[in-house]
Order: sequence, then C-alpha cells, then structure tokens
Amino acid sequence: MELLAPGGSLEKLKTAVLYGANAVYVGGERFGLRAAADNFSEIELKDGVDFAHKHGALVYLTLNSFLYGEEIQQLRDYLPTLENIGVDGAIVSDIGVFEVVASLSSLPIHVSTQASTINLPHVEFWKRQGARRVILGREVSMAAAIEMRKEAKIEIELFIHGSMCIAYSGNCIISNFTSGRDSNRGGCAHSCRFLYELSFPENGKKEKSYFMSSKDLWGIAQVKAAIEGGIDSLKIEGRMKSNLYVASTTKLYSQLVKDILSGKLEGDDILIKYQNEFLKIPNRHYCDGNLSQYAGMDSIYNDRENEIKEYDFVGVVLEADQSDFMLVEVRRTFYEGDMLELITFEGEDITFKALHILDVRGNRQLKSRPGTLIKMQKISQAAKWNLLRAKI
Amino acid sequence: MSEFIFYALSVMDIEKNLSQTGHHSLTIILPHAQLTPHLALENDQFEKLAIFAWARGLRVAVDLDLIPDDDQLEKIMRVVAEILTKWPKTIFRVKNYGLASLLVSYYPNILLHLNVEFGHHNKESLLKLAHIFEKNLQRFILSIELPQNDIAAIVAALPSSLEIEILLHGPIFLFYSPRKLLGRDEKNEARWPSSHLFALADSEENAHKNFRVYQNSHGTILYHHKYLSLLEEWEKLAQLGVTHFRLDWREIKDRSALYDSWQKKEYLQVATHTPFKTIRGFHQNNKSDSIFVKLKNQNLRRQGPQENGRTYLGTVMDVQRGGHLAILNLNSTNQLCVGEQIVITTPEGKEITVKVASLFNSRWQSIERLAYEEIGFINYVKGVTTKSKVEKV
Repeated sequence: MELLAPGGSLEKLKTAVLYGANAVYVGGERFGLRAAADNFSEIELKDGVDFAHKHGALVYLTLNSFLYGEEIQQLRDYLPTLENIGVDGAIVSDIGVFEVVASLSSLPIHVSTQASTINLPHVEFWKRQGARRVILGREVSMAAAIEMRKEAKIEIELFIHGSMCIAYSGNCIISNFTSGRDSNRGGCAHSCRFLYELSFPENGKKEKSYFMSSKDLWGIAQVKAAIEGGIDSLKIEGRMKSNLYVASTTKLYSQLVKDILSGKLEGDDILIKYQNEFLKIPNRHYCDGNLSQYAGMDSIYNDRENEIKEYDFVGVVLEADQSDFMLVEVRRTFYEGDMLELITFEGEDITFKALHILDVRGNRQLKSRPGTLIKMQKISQAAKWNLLRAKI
Repeated sequence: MSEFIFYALSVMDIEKNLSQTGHHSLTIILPHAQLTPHLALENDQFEKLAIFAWARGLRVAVDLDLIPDDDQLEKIMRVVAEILTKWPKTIFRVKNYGLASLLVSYYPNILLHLNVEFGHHNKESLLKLAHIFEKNLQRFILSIELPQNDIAAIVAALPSSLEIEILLHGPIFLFYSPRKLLGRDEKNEARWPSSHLFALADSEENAHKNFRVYQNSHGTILYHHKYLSLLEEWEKLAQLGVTHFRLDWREIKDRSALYDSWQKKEYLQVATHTPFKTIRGFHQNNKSDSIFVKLKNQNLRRQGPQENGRTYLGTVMDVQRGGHLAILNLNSTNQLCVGEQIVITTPEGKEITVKVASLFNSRWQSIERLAYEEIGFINYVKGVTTKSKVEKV
C-alpha cells in the first residue's frame, strides 16, 4: 500500500520522501487547487520528480482545478512537458480536463476527491472513462471504500489524515461570492472556519458558533483495515501546511504501516503508541471523519478559528557529518538551554538540550535568529535534512 | 424558442404558470424531499401536485441533486421507481454521474437534465458528458459562475438538439454538506438533531452576512444573502442559445405577486417583491482566480536557462555583513566553482553580479567547488539578504 504525502514545495516534497512517503502529490504553477502554495515551476518539478524517483517514490501532479475555456488549450500545451518531466500521474476532477489528458497523453489519471465520488456506480463511471485510480470523497467509510475496491477493481485512494472540507468537496463556492476567490481554482478563503452568529427566527434564539468548522481527520485506527482491505493509497492532506507537519505526519503513518505489517502492534496498542505523537502536530482536534461511521456533531471544531499548536518548527539540519557540530538552518528563535526535538527519519525522536549556539564563525550566541545558520552540538542520530522542533 | 421554468410547491404555482400567456412553461419542477437537499415537497404533497400537473398537460421534472453514498442510492432508487411507475415520462435533473449512470442502466429510455452547476466551465466537459449520456440527455443546467462569453462558447459547441438552462432569478447556492450543522441533540452531544432547522448566519468577516442556512435529513445547505437576477438579460441570453430560464421562488412565501409582475415583464417589480437584494454575479466576467499571482514573489521564482539564459544554482542561507554569504546548492546537475560568475537576485528584485573569488566549507577550509545540497561560503556582497536567489551566468 502506498503512503501519499503532500509536496507543497520542492523542500516539502523532499521532506515527505525522506520521512517515508511512497508518493507525493504536488501542484504546478497552473491548474492545481492550492493557488497560495509555493507551487512548482517546470524546472522545480523536474528536480522534484528526479529526487523522488531516485528514492523510489512517485510524483502525482494536481490538475484538479475546474478550468475555463481558454485554459484547456493551455493545458494541451502543458501536457507534453509533464510527460517529458516524468510525472507519474495526473490528479483530475473536471471531466473536460480528464478527456484532454486522456486523449493527448499517456499519463495515468487519478480522479480527484473534488469530483465527490462516494458511490460504486460513480467509481465504475470513472473506470469506464479510463481512470487508473479514484480518490474517494471524505464522506465514504473505510468499509465502503474497501467494498468499492473489491467490486470495481480499480485503484482506490483514501484520505487518512488532515484538514477536512465540511462541504462535499467541489460543492462550496462561498469564497467565490464573498471574496472574489474561486475555491475550486485554488482560492478558498476558508470561510467555514469563521465565527458566525446563528439566529434562529423560529424561536428567536441566537448563538455564536464555528458551526461550519470541521475537526481534523486522523485515521490511525483504520490503517490496519485499509491494508487488509486492499486500499491502494492512503493520503495525507496538507500542501499548504508546514514542513514540520509534512515530516511528522509522514513519518508517523509510515512507521504505523510498518508496525502493522510486521505484526508489532494490534488493536488499542496502535492508538496508545501513536495518539500522543499526533497531538504534537498542529491540529483542530481530531476525529475519524466518516471512516468508521457518519461524522456526527462531535466532528465540529467549535473552540476557535485556528488550530492548536504545541510545537514549532525551529530548524533544519544541513550538515550532520562533521565530527564535532551540526550545521542548522534556523527557522524560529530558540535559546541556549532550550529543549529541542530532533525528528529522525526512522525510529524514536531525540530530545536534547541546546547546550550551545554558535554562529558559523564559531562565536557564541545566546539565541538563534531565523534566516541564519548556526552550529550546535552534534547529535549522533542526526542526518542531513532532519527537522528540529521545540515545544511552544 | 425560449422557455421559462418554475418550481411548484403548491397548486397556485402550477395555475399561475399555466396562466402566463407567452411565458408559460411546458414543464414544471416538482422538488421531492427525499431527492433534493433544497426546499421540497413531502411525498403526499408531491403526489398531489404531480397528479394535478400531469392532468393539465404539464410534464414533471424532478430534481435529483443529492450526492449519495451507496446506502442512500438504494433509497433514492426506490423513490425513483415509485415515481416512474406512476408517471413514466418524468424527467430527472441529476447531478451525480454515478446516479445518472445507474438511472440509465435501469431505465434505458429515461430523460435526464444534467445539473452541471458546480465546475464544468468548459465545452470539453459538456461535450464529453453529452457523448456519454447520449440519447438520455435532454438538457444541461449550467453553472451560475459562467460569464456570458463562456456561456456563448459552450452553447455554440454543443449539438443544437440539447437544451441549455440557466438560473434567471433565484437563490445563490453556496455550500452543501452532508453534516447537519445547526443545533445540537440535547441528550447526546455526539448526535445530530433530526429536525429541520433554519438559521441566518452572520460573521464579522466582510461579506459573510446573513447566509440562509437550512438543515434537513440530507445535511446542511447555505445560500448567499442576495439573489441572482439576470431578469433583464434573458433576451440576450436567448440569442446566445440558452433555451430555458429557471425562476426559483421557493423561499418566497407570497409568490403570487411575483408571477403577476413577471407576466407583465415588470422586472423591477419582481425585484421589489423579492425579499432579498439581487446581484448579477459573474455574468459580465469572472476573475475570481487571479488574486494569488500577485502575492507570490516572482523575483525568487526558479527559472530554467531557456527562460532567462541563466542556470539556477540555489539560495542564500546566511549573511554576515562584512563577512560572508552562505549558499546552498540546490541544483542536482550543476556545481559552483571558484572563478565562476553568479547573479544574486534579492527578494526585492535587485540583481547583483559577482565573481566567486574563493569558496569555503563550514570548517572554513578552502574548497574548489560546491556540490549539490552542500553549503558553501563566499565573501560578503553588499545588498544581499537571505533567501536571495543564486544563478550562474
């Protein structure tokens, strides 16, 4: 089974691959659904694909915007480039885009979750059109997904972690009419996360509520069923999220899959081992969405607009092979004496105290400054591109 | 020949439709509560109006715009079977391709109106769907996001035998969730309440005002606080080839005055009788995806030699005034060597060309070249800041 992670930028793609993703989904500069993400230019895409392939991972490109007339011609022109670059699949939601990609390229087509495919006849519809894979809507339970896989005999991909649209994906245009930003073309303004005052004319009652804000999805308890049921790919949401998020979630799910496959963990042991680690990742509280049963009232995140964040991303290890120090790129300030965590590519993370902070010339600093390089004491388990985090 | 099409929630709607000389519709839409998330009729009311409509020579079309899972499909197909048993010529207005395919497989002669209101902004989409659903497809219900030029292009590309419908006057449907988002079950926090609920939702955020929110057994839907109105545009749209214009007044309690004004072509009066302000939406143009291009720093965009004649090398990671610049080589196929010339572009777009006189590693040992994913240090260059882009000439 494939673990599919978000690659919101070239750096995040590399992070995802190094932390255990079997495949990464990315956006080009056009036609993807995350306009605000640091999307890939053609040359970056080539680099990303080469990097992923070198590490045995695949790259899927999102072409899941709903395109207008003249953009279809631009897409036609773009397709040969994608094939030359060696992208491993195109993620598509618009049936017009599907038709163009299918007729003008040999790229395998994955039907995006934006197409809201949640029933078997719909999956079979896409199979008849020539889709390689269907990414099911997040309204589908794991049991139903497994059944669809069995019946339709087509690759099935399912979201296992991350933020969730409260609407059927592709069926929300609030941003379009309130902010002039097309939510189905990458401009979602996240109106569903705002605080609203609800007025009920029937009884005059008023209440303040984040009534449209969904908790985040975590599917830890469902991974075993997915593996046993033949689900082809489990997807982590979050091309707009931080490098730290990509590293932490990818590593945890990768490890979880390995633990399950090796028979190390069963039942509640899985939850106990992994729950605390997932709580370190920024979240809007977790629920299992519709994976085990229809999402209920307790799937609403009614506490606040933003996510809860316990840890910050403080740095990236750039050199770990020196005998007496590691070279770190600083992303957030920390102080001498602070406790940091090194997120290793595999195995336990390492908690350590920042004994000293030196600038690259060896001068002692009391604190690190973002946008600089520092030298710190060497941690033996550290590897190049490991991330560092600190409790807030 | 243009046709106007109305929803019926009462006998009055049907009678008013029939009394509209020159405007009356040959088809009436009867919304069935088990087949649509929008305001609709319960089964007994539906049956009563269907009998009434068919008896008066009207054809009945039924909205089937749910996005069902497999469990819901079974229930839907039971209701559809009941309707078709009684009125075999009923048309279904379907949104979900899976459901549409299922209907065609069960009822090979069924007529469908495909609801393509979300997405489907290009002719290729509709041509493909027209090809797939062939003889079963009578009409497309187009998106309200389409500007008139796109409507024209789409209509021109489609077979003239296909009917084209747009919303002429009615609510702007913004959001559809399967979750029931209003209220709580007092006894069990985890359960959704089962009742139908309505609320107005108001945020302090600009333009997020007075959304009308409905909850029913299908989930929650949300409408914009204004109505879409293209009342004064219909003749132009008809010339473009739009054949059917939908007027959706289900939310308006006193619809009688609306029908009367409509009949007299008193469009301003129609607006007066509508309790919501109106907008024309994206009818003139739609630039709702252009905002982000401006937000990205194009100065730091990684380009290939074919774009600007230079080879991208990497980025500046550290700057010490009077001391050094640290460069991370991010080009897997290129090295930086002593003696080469580089162009450094700052985030503000300032370009500085320098010759690499010397290179050092993090131990300050002199090196000759900087390989992929390595950090190297060169002498300080005035005006350069971190994140600056480094290219080889």
